[in-house]
Amino acid sequence: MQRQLKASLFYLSSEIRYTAIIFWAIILSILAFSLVLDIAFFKNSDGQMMFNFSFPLYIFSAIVAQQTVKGSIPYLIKMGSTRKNIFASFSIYFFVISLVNAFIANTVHSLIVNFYPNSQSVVTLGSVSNTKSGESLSFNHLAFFLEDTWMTRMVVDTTIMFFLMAFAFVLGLFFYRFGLLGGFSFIGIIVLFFIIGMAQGWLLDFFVYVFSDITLLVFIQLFFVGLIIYFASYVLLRRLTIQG
Amino acid sequence: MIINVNELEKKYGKSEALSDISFTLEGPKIYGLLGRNGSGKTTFMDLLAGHTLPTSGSVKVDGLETFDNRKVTENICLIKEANNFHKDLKIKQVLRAYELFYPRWDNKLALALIKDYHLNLNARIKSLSKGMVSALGVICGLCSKAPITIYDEPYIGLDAAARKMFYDTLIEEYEKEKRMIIFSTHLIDEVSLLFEEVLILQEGELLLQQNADELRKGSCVVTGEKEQVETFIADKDVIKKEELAGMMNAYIYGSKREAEAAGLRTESIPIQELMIYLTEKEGA
Repeated sequence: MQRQLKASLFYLSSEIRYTAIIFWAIILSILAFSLVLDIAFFKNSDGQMMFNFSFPLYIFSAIVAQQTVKGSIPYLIKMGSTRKNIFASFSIYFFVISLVNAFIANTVHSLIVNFYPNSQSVVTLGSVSNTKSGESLSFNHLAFFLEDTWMTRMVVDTTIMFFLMAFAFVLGLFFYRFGLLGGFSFIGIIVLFFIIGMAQGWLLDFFVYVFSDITLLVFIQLFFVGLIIYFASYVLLRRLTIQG
Repeated sequence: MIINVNELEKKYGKSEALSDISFTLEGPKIYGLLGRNGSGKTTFMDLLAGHTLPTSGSVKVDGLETFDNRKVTENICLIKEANNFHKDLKIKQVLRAYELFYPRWDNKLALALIKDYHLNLNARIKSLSKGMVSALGVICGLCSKAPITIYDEPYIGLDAAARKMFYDTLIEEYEKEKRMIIFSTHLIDEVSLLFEEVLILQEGELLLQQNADELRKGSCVVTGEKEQVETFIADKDVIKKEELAGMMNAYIYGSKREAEAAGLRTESIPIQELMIYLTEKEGA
Protein backbone atom coordinates (compact mmCIF):
# COMPACT_ATOMS: atom_id res chain seq x y z
CA MET A 1 0.00 0.00 0.00
CA GLN A 2 2.76 2.41 0.96
CA ARG A 3 4.66 1.77 -2.28
CA GLN A 4 1.51 2.28 -4.35
CA LEU A 5 0.74 5.49 -2.48
CA LYS A 6 4.23 6.76 -3.20
CA ALA A 7 3.86 5.75 -6.84
CA SER A 8 0.50 7.52 -7.21
CA LEU A 9 1.76 10.67 -5.53
CA PHE A 10 4.84 10.69 -7.76
CA TYR A 11 2.63 10.26 -10.82
CA LEU A 12 0.21 13.01 -9.77
CA SER A 13 2.97 15.44 -8.84
CA SER A 14 4.71 14.82 -12.18
CA GLU A 15 1.46 15.44 -13.98
CA ILE A 16 0.55 18.68 -12.17
CA ARG A 17 4.06 20.15 -12.35
CA TYR A 18 3.79 21.15 -16.01
CA THR A 19 0.29 22.65 -15.64
CA ALA A 20 1.21 24.45 -12.42
CA ILE A 21 4.36 25.95 -13.95
CA ILE A 22 2.31 27.34 -16.84
CA PHE A 23 -0.37 28.68 -14.48
CA TRP A 24 2.11 30.39 -12.17
CA ALA A 25 4.14 31.73 -15.08
CA ILE A 26 0.99 33.43 -16.38
CA ILE A 27 -0.09 34.78 -12.96
CA LEU A 28 3.37 36.07 -12.06
CA SER A 29 3.80 37.60 -15.52
CA ILE A 30 0.51 39.47 -15.06
CA LEU A 31 1.70 40.63 -11.64
CA ALA A 32 5.01 41.81 -13.09
CA PHE A 33 3.16 43.59 -15.89
CA SER A 34 0.86 45.21 -13.29
CA LEU A 35 3.87 46.47 -11.37
CA VAL A 36 5.34 47.93 -14.55
CA LEU A 37 2.02 49.60 -15.35
CA ASP A 38 1.78 50.91 -11.81
CA ILE A 39 5.22 52.44 -11.94
CA ALA A 40 4.61 53.86 -15.40
CA PHE A 41 1.08 55.25 -15.06
CA PHE A 42 -0.43 55.16 -11.58
CA LYS A 43 2.38 55.90 -9.14
CA ASN A 44 1.75 59.58 -8.70
CA SER A 45 -1.85 59.77 -9.83
CA ASP A 46 -5.32 59.05 -8.44
CA GLY A 47 -5.56 55.83 -10.46
CA GLN A 48 -5.81 52.49 -8.68
CA MET A 49 -5.03 48.92 -9.68
CA MET A 50 -6.45 45.88 -7.89
CA PHE A 51 -4.72 42.52 -7.90
CA ASN A 52 -6.18 39.23 -6.67
CA PHE A 53 -4.36 35.92 -6.44
CA SER A 54 -7.11 34.00 -4.72
CA PHE A 55 -9.87 33.79 -7.29
CA PRO A 56 -7.65 32.59 -10.18
CA LEU A 57 -6.25 30.03 -7.73
CA TYR A 58 -9.70 28.86 -6.66
CA ILE A 59 -10.75 28.43 -10.29
CA PHE A 60 -7.46 26.71 -11.17
CA SER A 61 -7.77 24.27 -8.26
CA ALA A 62 -11.36 23.38 -9.08
CA ILE A 63 -10.50 22.80 -12.76
CA VAL A 64 -7.47 20.65 -11.83
CA ALA A 65 -9.60 18.50 -9.52
CA GLN A 66 -12.37 18.09 -12.06
CA GLN A 67 -10.00 17.30 -14.92
CA THR A 68 -7.94 14.91 -12.87
CA VAL A 69 -10.80 12.41 -12.81
CA LYS A 70 -10.64 11.84 -16.54
CA GLY A 71 -6.98 12.73 -16.94
CA SER A 72 -5.28 10.78 -14.15
CA ILE A 73 -7.47 8.07 -12.67
CA PRO A 74 -7.54 5.87 -15.81
CA TYR A 75 -3.74 5.97 -16.03
CA LEU A 76 -3.36 5.10 -12.36
CA ILE A 77 -5.72 2.13 -12.76
CA LYS A 78 -3.79 1.05 -15.86
CA MET A 79 -0.61 0.94 -13.79
CA GLY A 80 -2.29 -1.28 -11.24
CA SER A 81 -3.41 1.24 -8.63
CA THR A 82 -6.32 0.19 -6.47
CA ARG A 83 -9.31 2.48 -5.91
CA LYS A 84 -8.46 2.71 -2.19
CA ASN A 85 -4.99 3.88 -3.10
CA ILE A 86 -6.41 6.44 -5.53
CA PHE A 87 -8.74 7.69 -2.80
CA ALA A 88 -5.90 8.03 -0.29
CA SER A 89 -3.44 9.60 -2.73
CA PHE A 90 -5.93 12.16 -4.06
CA SER A 91 -6.75 13.37 -0.55
CA ILE A 92 -3.06 14.09 0.06
CA TYR A 93 -2.67 15.50 -3.45
CA PHE A 94 -5.56 17.96 -3.06
CA PHE A 95 -4.40 19.09 0.34
CA VAL A 96 -0.81 19.59 -0.77
CA ILE A 97 -1.87 21.49 -3.92
CA SER A 98 -4.06 23.77 -1.79
CA LEU A 99 -1.26 24.32 0.69
CA VAL A 100 1.49 24.92 -1.88
CA ASN A 101 -0.61 27.28 -4.00
CA ALA A 102 -1.71 29.21 -0.91
CA PHE A 103 1.90 29.39 0.25
CA ILE A 104 3.20 30.78 -3.05
CA ALA A 105 0.32 33.23 -3.49
CA ASN A 106 0.46 34.60 0.03
CA THR A 107 4.21 34.77 0.23
CA VAL A 108 4.32 36.78 -3.01
CA HIS A 109 1.42 38.89 -1.67
CA SER A 110 3.34 39.61 1.55
CA LEU A 111 6.58 40.34 -0.27
CA ILE A 112 4.95 42.86 -2.60
CA VAL A 113 2.90 44.55 0.14
CA ASN A 114 5.95 44.81 2.40
CA PHE A 115 8.58 45.74 -0.12
CA TYR A 116 6.74 47.62 -2.87
CA PRO A 117 5.96 51.01 -1.38
CA ASN A 118 2.83 51.75 -3.41
CA SER A 119 0.92 48.59 -2.50
CA GLN A 120 -1.44 47.47 0.26
CA SER A 121 -3.98 44.75 1.17
CA VAL A 122 -7.66 45.59 0.89
CA VAL A 123 -10.99 43.83 1.23
CA THR A 124 -12.03 41.75 -1.77
CA LEU A 125 -15.65 42.72 -1.86
CA GLY A 126 -15.07 46.35 -0.86
CA SER A 127 -14.55 49.30 -3.11
CA VAL A 128 -11.39 51.01 -4.21
CA SER A 129 -12.20 53.81 -1.78
CA ASN A 130 -10.93 51.52 0.99
CA THR A 131 -7.42 52.03 -0.29
CA LYS A 132 -5.17 54.50 1.37
CA SER A 133 -4.23 57.55 -0.61
CA GLY A 134 -0.94 57.32 -2.45
CA GLU A 135 -1.03 53.52 -2.62
CA SER A 136 -1.92 52.74 -6.17
CA LEU A 137 -1.56 48.90 -6.25
CA SER A 138 -3.97 47.01 -4.02
CA PHE A 139 -3.98 43.31 -3.20
CA ASN A 140 -7.37 42.13 -2.17
CA HIS A 141 -8.14 39.04 -0.18
CA LEU A 142 -11.01 37.53 1.77
CA ALA A 143 -8.82 37.50 4.87
CA PHE A 144 -9.26 41.25 5.12
CA PHE A 145 -12.60 40.41 6.80
CA LEU A 146 -10.54 38.79 9.53
CA GLU A 147 -7.06 39.70 10.61
CA ASP A 148 -5.04 40.24 7.45
CA THR A 149 -1.89 38.25 8.18
CA TRP A 150 0.07 35.74 6.13
CA MET A 151 -1.17 32.89 8.31
CA THR A 152 -4.83 33.93 8.09
CA ARG A 153 -4.61 34.18 4.33
CA MET A 154 -2.94 30.75 4.23
CA VAL A 155 -5.78 29.19 6.23
CA VAL A 156 -8.48 30.93 4.17
CA ASP A 157 -6.97 29.98 0.80
CA THR A 158 -6.06 26.41 1.77
CA THR A 159 -9.50 25.63 3.17
CA ILE A 160 -11.41 27.21 0.29
CA MET A 161 -9.22 25.49 -2.31
CA PHE A 162 -9.53 22.11 -0.61
CA PHE A 163 -13.30 22.50 -0.39
CA LEU A 164 -13.55 23.45 -4.07
CA MET A 165 -11.25 20.61 -5.12
CA ALA A 166 -13.31 18.06 -3.20
CA PHE A 167 -16.51 19.39 -4.71
CA ALA A 168 -15.08 19.53 -8.26
CA PHE A 169 -13.70 16.00 -7.83
CA VAL A 170 -17.14 14.66 -6.96
CA LEU A 171 -18.60 16.59 -9.90
CA GLY A 172 -15.93 15.10 -12.19
CA LEU A 173 -16.73 11.62 -10.89
CA PHE A 174 -20.42 12.14 -11.66
CA PHE A 175 -19.59 13.15 -15.22
CA TYR A 176 -17.12 10.26 -15.60
CA ARG A 177 -19.41 7.56 -14.25
CA PHE A 178 -22.80 8.71 -15.47
CA GLY A 179 -21.93 10.78 -18.54
CA LEU A 180 -23.29 14.21 -19.43
CA LEU A 181 -26.77 13.30 -18.23
CA GLY A 182 -25.52 12.25 -14.79
CA GLY A 183 -23.16 15.21 -14.46
CA PHE A 184 -25.71 17.82 -15.43
CA SER A 185 -28.36 16.14 -13.28
CA PHE A 186 -26.01 16.51 -10.32
CA ILE A 187 -25.50 20.20 -11.16
CA GLY A 188 -29.28 20.54 -11.56
CA ILE A 189 -29.87 19.14 -8.07
CA ILE A 190 -27.33 21.58 -6.58
CA VAL A 191 -28.94 24.52 -8.41
CA LEU A 192 -32.39 23.37 -7.28
CA PHE A 193 -31.14 23.19 -3.71
CA PHE A 194 -29.95 26.81 -3.96
CA ILE A 195 -33.18 28.01 -5.58
CA ILE A 196 -35.34 26.34 -2.91
CA GLY A 197 -33.04 27.63 -0.16
CA MET A 198 -33.18 31.19 -1.47
CA ALA A 199 -36.95 31.05 -2.09
CA GLN A 200 -37.68 29.80 1.42
CA GLY A 201 -35.15 32.17 2.89
CA TRP A 202 -33.18 29.73 5.02
CA LEU A 203 -30.14 29.75 2.72
CA LEU A 204 -30.01 33.55 2.76
CA ASP A 205 -30.35 33.51 6.54
CA PHE A 206 -27.51 31.04 6.70
CA PHE A 207 -25.19 33.25 4.62
CA VAL A 208 -26.12 36.35 6.63
CA TYR A 209 -25.43 34.42 9.83
CA VAL A 210 -22.04 33.20 8.58
CA PHE A 211 -20.79 36.48 7.08
CA SER A 212 -22.13 38.84 9.77
CA ASP A 213 -19.70 37.42 12.27
CA ILE A 214 -17.09 35.76 10.14
CA THR A 215 -14.18 34.14 11.96
CA LEU A 216 -11.38 31.79 11.01
CA LEU A 217 -13.49 28.98 12.42
CA VAL A 218 -15.88 29.33 9.48
CA PHE A 219 -13.05 28.46 7.09
CA ILE A 220 -11.89 25.56 9.24
CA GLN A 221 -15.47 24.29 9.21
CA LEU A 222 -15.47 24.69 5.44
CA PHE A 223 -12.39 22.46 5.32
CA PHE A 224 -14.22 19.76 7.26
CA VAL A 225 -17.23 20.08 4.95
CA GLY A 226 -14.75 19.56 2.09
CA LEU A 227 -13.44 16.46 3.87
CA ILE A 228 -16.98 15.06 4.22
CA ILE A 229 -17.62 15.69 0.51
CA TYR A 230 -14.30 14.01 -0.27
CA PHE A 231 -15.17 10.95 1.84
CA ALA A 232 -18.48 10.73 -0.03
CA SER A 233 -16.54 10.50 -3.30
CA TYR A 234 -15.44 6.98 -2.36
CA VAL A 235 -18.94 5.74 -3.12
CA LEU A 236 -18.40 6.80 -6.74
CA LEU A 237 -14.75 5.75 -6.82
CA ARG A 238 -15.15 2.27 -5.35
CA ARG A 239 -16.36 0.53 -8.51
CA LEU A 240 -14.85 2.93 -11.04
CA THR A 241 -13.78 1.33 -14.31
CA ILE A 242 -11.80 2.56 -17.27
CA GLN A 243 -14.01 3.81 -20.05
CA GLY A 244 -12.84 3.64 -23.65
CA MET B 1 0.44 -18.22 -12.11
CA ILE B 2 -2.95 -19.62 -13.00
CA ILE B 3 -5.75 -17.62 -14.58
CA ASN B 4 -9.18 -19.16 -14.16
CA VAL B 5 -11.91 -17.77 -16.34
CA ASN B 6 -15.29 -19.03 -15.24
CA GLU B 7 -18.52 -18.38 -17.20
CA LEU B 8 -17.28 -14.87 -17.89
CA GLU B 9 -19.81 -12.56 -19.46
CA LYS B 10 -19.49 -8.88 -20.32
CA LYS B 11 -22.25 -6.78 -21.83
CA TYR B 12 -22.08 -3.17 -23.00
CA GLY B 13 -25.72 -2.15 -22.99
CA LYS B 14 -27.47 -4.72 -25.14
CA SER B 15 -24.35 -5.83 -26.98
CA GLU B 16 -22.55 -8.85 -25.62
CA ALA B 17 -18.75 -8.64 -25.81
CA LEU B 18 -18.08 -11.92 -23.99
CA SER B 19 -20.62 -14.64 -23.52
CA ASP B 20 -20.08 -17.23 -20.79
CA ILE B 21 -16.53 -18.18 -21.64
CA SER B 22 -14.56 -20.53 -19.43
CA PHE B 23 -10.94 -21.56 -19.74
CA THR B 24 -7.71 -21.76 -17.80
CA LEU B 25 -4.31 -20.27 -18.59
CA GLU B 26 -1.29 -21.55 -16.81
CA GLY B 27 2.07 -19.83 -16.90
CA PRO B 28 4.84 -19.31 -17.57
CA LYS B 29 3.95 -19.50 -21.23
CA ILE B 30 3.54 -17.23 -24.26
CA TYR B 31 -0.10 -17.15 -25.30
CA GLY B 32 -1.44 -15.84 -28.58
CA LEU B 33 -4.88 -14.36 -28.08
CA LEU B 34 -6.34 -14.14 -31.55
CA GLY B 35 -9.59 -13.22 -33.16
CA ARG B 36 -11.18 -10.77 -35.53
CA ASN B 37 -12.16 -7.21 -34.65
CA GLY B 38 -14.93 -7.22 -32.07
CA SER B 39 -14.28 -10.80 -30.99
CA GLY B 40 -13.87 -9.78 -27.33
CA LYS B 41 -10.06 -9.89 -26.99
CA THR B 42 -9.66 -6.38 -25.58
CA THR B 43 -12.65 -6.83 -23.28
CA PHE B 44 -11.11 -10.00 -21.89
CA MET B 45 -7.75 -8.30 -21.36
CA ASP B 46 -9.41 -5.35 -19.60
CA LEU B 47 -11.23 -7.74 -17.29
CA LEU B 48 -8.07 -9.70 -16.59
CA ALA B 49 -6.15 -6.53 -15.73
CA GLY B 50 -8.96 -5.39 -13.42
CA HIS B 51 -9.81 -2.34 -15.51
CA THR B 52 -13.47 -3.24 -15.81
CA LEU B 53 -16.01 -5.43 -14.04
CA PRO B 54 -17.68 -8.46 -15.59
CA THR B 55 -21.45 -8.56 -16.02
CA SER B 56 -21.36 -12.06 -14.59
CA GLY B 57 -18.87 -14.84 -14.02
CA SER B 58 -15.33 -14.34 -12.81
CA VAL B 59 -11.71 -14.07 -13.80
CA LYS B 60 -9.29 -15.03 -11.06
CA VAL B 61 -5.52 -15.09 -10.81
CA ASP B 62 -4.23 -17.73 -8.40
CA GLY B 63 -7.73 -17.82 -6.94
CA LEU B 64 -7.93 -14.05 -6.36
CA GLU B 65 -10.35 -11.61 -8.00
CA THR B 66 -8.54 -9.22 -10.33
CA PHE B 67 -10.71 -6.13 -9.81
CA ASP B 68 -9.23 -3.67 -7.33
CA ASN B 69 -6.88 -6.21 -5.83
CA ARG B 70 -3.34 -4.92 -5.33
CA LYS B 71 -1.89 -8.41 -4.87
CA VAL B 72 -3.06 -9.22 -8.39
CA THR B 73 -2.74 -5.89 -10.22
CA GLU B 74 0.90 -5.37 -9.28
CA ASN B 75 1.57 -8.68 -11.03
CA ILE B 76 -0.23 -7.71 -14.23
CA CYS B 77 1.02 -5.22 -16.79
CA LEU B 78 -1.28 -4.47 -19.71
CA ILE B 79 0.11 -2.44 -22.58
CA LYS B 80 -2.49 -1.37 -25.11
CA GLU B 81 -2.13 0.05 -28.57
CA ALA B 82 -2.73 3.64 -27.36
CA ASN B 83 -3.38 5.83 -24.31
CA ASN B 84 -0.92 4.06 -22.07
CA PHE B 85 0.70 7.29 -20.88
CA HIS B 86 -0.38 10.80 -19.95
CA LYS B 87 0.72 13.13 -22.73
CA ASP B 88 2.19 15.79 -20.44
CA LEU B 89 4.65 13.41 -18.76
CA LYS B 90 8.29 13.03 -19.71
CA ILE B 91 9.66 9.59 -20.59
CA LYS B 92 11.80 9.55 -17.44
CA GLN B 93 8.70 10.28 -15.33
CA VAL B 94 6.81 7.42 -16.98
CA LEU B 95 9.69 5.04 -16.27
CA ARG B 96 9.90 6.20 -12.65
CA ALA B 97 6.14 5.75 -12.17
CA TYR B 98 6.32 2.20 -13.58
CA GLU B 99 9.32 1.50 -11.38
CA LEU B 100 7.31 2.50 -8.32
CA PHE B 101 4.21 0.57 -9.34
CA TYR B 102 5.86 -2.68 -10.44
CA PRO B 103 7.97 -4.33 -7.74
CA ARG B 104 10.02 -6.37 -10.24
CA TRP B 105 10.84 -3.42 -12.53
CA ASP B 106 14.22 -3.72 -14.31
CA ASN B 107 15.55 -0.18 -14.62
CA LYS B 108 18.86 -1.23 -16.17
CA LEU B 109 17.04 -2.95 -19.00
CA ALA B 110 14.71 0.03 -19.39
CA LEU B 111 17.60 2.46 -19.85
CA ALA B 112 19.32 0.10 -22.30
CA LEU B 113 16.15 -0.23 -24.38
CA ILE B 114 15.50 3.53 -24.27
CA LYS B 115 18.94 3.90 -25.86
CA ASP B 116 18.31 1.12 -28.40
CA TYR B 117 15.03 2.73 -29.50
CA HIS B 118 16.68 6.18 -29.64
CA LEU B 119 14.30 7.75 -27.15
CA ASN B 120 15.12 10.89 -25.22
CA LEU B 121 14.42 10.57 -21.49
CA ASN B 122 13.48 14.25 -21.26
CA ALA B 123 11.02 14.18 -24.15
CA ARG B 124 7.35 14.62 -23.32
CA ILE B 125 4.90 11.97 -24.52
CA LYS B 126 3.01 14.53 -26.60
CA SER B 127 6.17 15.30 -28.57
CA LEU B 128 6.74 11.66 -29.56
CA SER B 129 5.73 10.01 -32.82
CA LYS B 130 3.26 7.12 -32.76
CA GLY B 131 6.13 4.67 -33.21
CA MET B 132 8.08 6.18 -30.32
CA VAL B 133 5.08 5.95 -27.99
CA SER B 134 4.66 2.31 -29.02
CA ALA B 135 8.35 1.71 -28.35
CA LEU B 136 7.93 3.16 -24.86
CA GLY B 137 4.92 0.86 -24.38
CA VAL B 138 6.81 -2.29 -25.28
CA ILE B 139 9.71 -1.18 -23.06
CA CYS B 140 7.39 -0.68 -20.08
CA GLY B 141 5.81 -4.08 -20.65
CA LEU B 142 9.16 -5.85 -20.91
CA CYS B 143 10.79 -4.06 -17.98
CA SER B 144 7.81 -4.38 -15.63
CA LYS B 145 8.81 -8.05 -15.37
CA ALA B 146 5.21 -8.55 -14.31
CA PRO B 147 4.43 -12.30 -13.99
CA ILE B 148 1.49 -11.66 -16.31
CA THR B 149 2.40 -9.28 -19.12
CA ILE B 150 -0.29 -8.52 -21.66
CA TYR B 151 0.30 -6.84 -25.00
CA ASP B 152 -2.76 -5.68 -26.92
CA GLU B 153 -1.57 -4.57 -30.37
CA PRO B 154 1.41 -2.88 -28.75
CA TYR B 155 3.32 -1.80 -31.81
CA ILE B 156 1.16 0.45 -33.94
CA GLY B 157 3.58 2.68 -35.80
CA LEU B 158 6.70 0.65 -35.02
CA ASP B 159 8.71 -0.10 -38.15
CA ALA B 160 9.75 -3.65 -39.09
CA ALA B 161 13.25 -3.27 -37.63
CA ALA B 162 11.92 -1.97 -34.32
CA ARG B 163 9.38 -4.80 -34.18
CA LYS B 164 12.11 -7.35 -34.80
CA MET B 165 14.18 -5.81 -32.02
CA PHE B 166 11.15 -6.12 -29.74
CA TYR B 167 10.63 -9.82 -30.60
CA ASP B 168 14.32 -10.54 -30.06
CA THR B 169 14.36 -8.79 -26.68
CA LEU B 170 11.13 -10.50 -25.69
CA ILE B 171 12.59 -13.95 -26.38
CA GLU B 172 15.86 -13.06 -24.69
CA GLU B 173 14.11 -11.81 -21.55
CA TYR B 174 11.67 -14.70 -21.58
CA GLU B 175 14.56 -17.17 -21.69
CA LYS B 176 16.23 -15.40 -18.78
CA GLU B 177 13.10 -15.14 -16.68
CA LYS B 178 10.00 -17.02 -17.74
CA ARG B 179 6.60 -15.43 -17.18
CA MET B 180 3.14 -15.48 -18.71
CA ILE B 181 2.91 -13.28 -21.78
CA ILE B 182 -0.42 -12.82 -23.49
CA PHE B 183 -0.09 -11.41 -26.94
CA SER B 184 -2.95 -10.06 -28.97
CA THR B 185 -2.09 -8.88 -32.45
CA HIS B 186 -3.30 -8.78 -36.02
CA LEU B 187 0.28 -9.24 -37.30
CA ILE B 188 -0.01 -12.94 -36.48
CA ASP B 189 2.52 -14.21 -39.03
CA GLU B 190 5.27 -12.13 -37.42
CA VAL B 191 4.81 -13.50 -33.92
CA SER B 192 3.12 -16.87 -34.36
CA LEU B 193 6.38 -18.74 -33.86
CA LEU B 194 6.63 -17.23 -30.38
CA PHE B 195 3.28 -18.63 -29.32
CA GLU B 196 3.27 -21.70 -27.13
CA GLU B 197 -0.49 -21.82 -26.91
CA VAL B 198 -3.17 -20.19 -29.00
CA LEU B 199 -6.64 -19.00 -28.05
CA ILE B 200 -9.06 -17.85 -30.70
CA LEU B 201 -12.07 -15.80 -29.75
CA GLN B 202 -15.04 -15.43 -32.05
CA GLU B 203 -17.96 -13.12 -31.29
CA GLY B 204 -17.37 -13.31 -27.56
CA GLU B 205 -16.93 -17.06 -27.43
CA LEU B 206 -13.85 -19.23 -27.18
CA LEU B 207 -13.46 -20.94 -30.53
CA LEU B 208 -10.21 -22.74 -29.86
CA GLN B 209 -7.55 -23.23 -27.22
CA GLN B 210 -4.68 -25.40 -28.29
CA ASN B 211 -0.96 -25.88 -27.98
CA ALA B 212 0.61 -23.98 -30.89
CA ASP B 213 2.80 -26.88 -32.04
CA GLU B 214 -0.11 -29.30 -31.96
CA LEU B 215 -2.15 -26.81 -33.90
CA ARG B 216 0.54 -26.45 -36.55
CA LYS B 217 1.13 -30.20 -36.77
CA GLY B 218 -2.50 -31.17 -36.42
CA SER B 219 -3.74 -29.19 -39.37
CA CYS B 220 -2.66 -28.99 -43.00
CA VAL B 221 -3.81 -28.19 -46.47
CA VAL B 222 -4.05 -31.16 -48.84
CA THR B 223 -3.98 -30.72 -52.60
CA GLY B 224 -4.86 -33.16 -55.34
CA GLU B 225 -7.51 -34.18 -57.84
CA LYS B 226 -10.99 -33.42 -56.63
CA GLU B 227 -12.21 -37.04 -56.30
CA GLN B 228 -9.04 -38.15 -54.58
CA VAL B 229 -9.22 -35.27 -52.05
CA GLU B 230 -12.95 -35.79 -51.52
CA THR B 231 -12.34 -39.46 -50.69
CA PHE B 232 -9.53 -38.60 -48.31
CA ILE B 233 -11.42 -35.90 -46.40
CA ALA B 234 -14.68 -37.87 -46.14
CA ASP B 235 -14.01 -38.77 -42.49
CA LYS B 236 -11.96 -35.67 -41.63
CA ASP B 237 -12.84 -32.41 -39.95
CA VAL B 238 -12.65 -29.95 -42.85
CA ILE B 239 -12.02 -26.27 -42.19
CA LYS B 240 -12.33 -25.05 -45.78
CA LYS B 241 -12.37 -26.35 -49.37
CA GLU B 242 -11.30 -24.62 -52.59
CA GLU B 243 -11.79 -26.00 -56.12
CA LEU B 244 -10.16 -24.96 -59.34
CA ALA B 245 -10.04 -26.78 -62.69
CA GLY B 246 -10.68 -30.25 -61.27
CA MET B 247 -8.19 -29.76 -58.49
CA MET B 248 -9.04 -29.27 -54.85
CA ASN B 249 -7.36 -27.71 -51.80
CA ALA B 250 -8.80 -28.84 -48.50
CA TYR B 251 -7.81 -27.31 -45.14
CA ILE B 252 -8.21 -30.09 -42.60
CA TYR B 253 -7.46 -31.25 -39.11
CA GLY B 254 -5.25 -34.24 -39.74
CA SER B 255 -1.66 -35.33 -40.15
CA LYS B 256 0.41 -34.58 -43.23
CA ARG B 257 1.84 -38.10 -43.20
CA GLU B 258 -1.57 -39.71 -43.69
CA ALA B 259 -2.37 -37.39 -46.58
CA GLU B 260 0.99 -37.98 -48.22
CA ALA B 261 0.48 -41.74 -47.87
CA ALA B 262 -2.77 -41.25 -49.80
CA GLY B 263 -0.77 -39.63 -52.60
CA LEU B 264 -1.78 -36.06 -51.88
CA ARG B 265 0.45 -33.02 -51.67
CA THR B 266 0.49 -31.28 -48.29
CA GLU B 267 1.47 -27.95 -46.80
CA SER B 268 1.34 -26.50 -43.30
CA ILE B 269 -1.26 -23.87 -42.55
CA PRO B 270 0.17 -20.68 -41.00
CA ILE B 271 -1.64 -19.77 -37.77
CA GLN B 272 -2.84 -16.50 -39.29
CA GLU B 273 -4.57 -18.34 -42.15
CA LEU B 274 -5.92 -20.93 -39.80
CA MET B 275 -7.45 -18.20 -37.68
CA ILE B 276 -9.00 -16.61 -40.77
CA TYR B 277 -10.44 -19.91 -42.03
CA LEU B 278 -11.70 -20.94 -38.62
CA THR B 279 -13.45 -17.64 -38.01
CA GLU B 280 -14.86 -17.71 -41.57
CA LYS B 281 -16.07 -21.23 -41.04
CA GLU B 282 -17.86 -20.17 -37.91
CA GLY B 283 -19.70 -17.55 -39.89
CA ALA B 284 -17.80 -14.36 -39.19
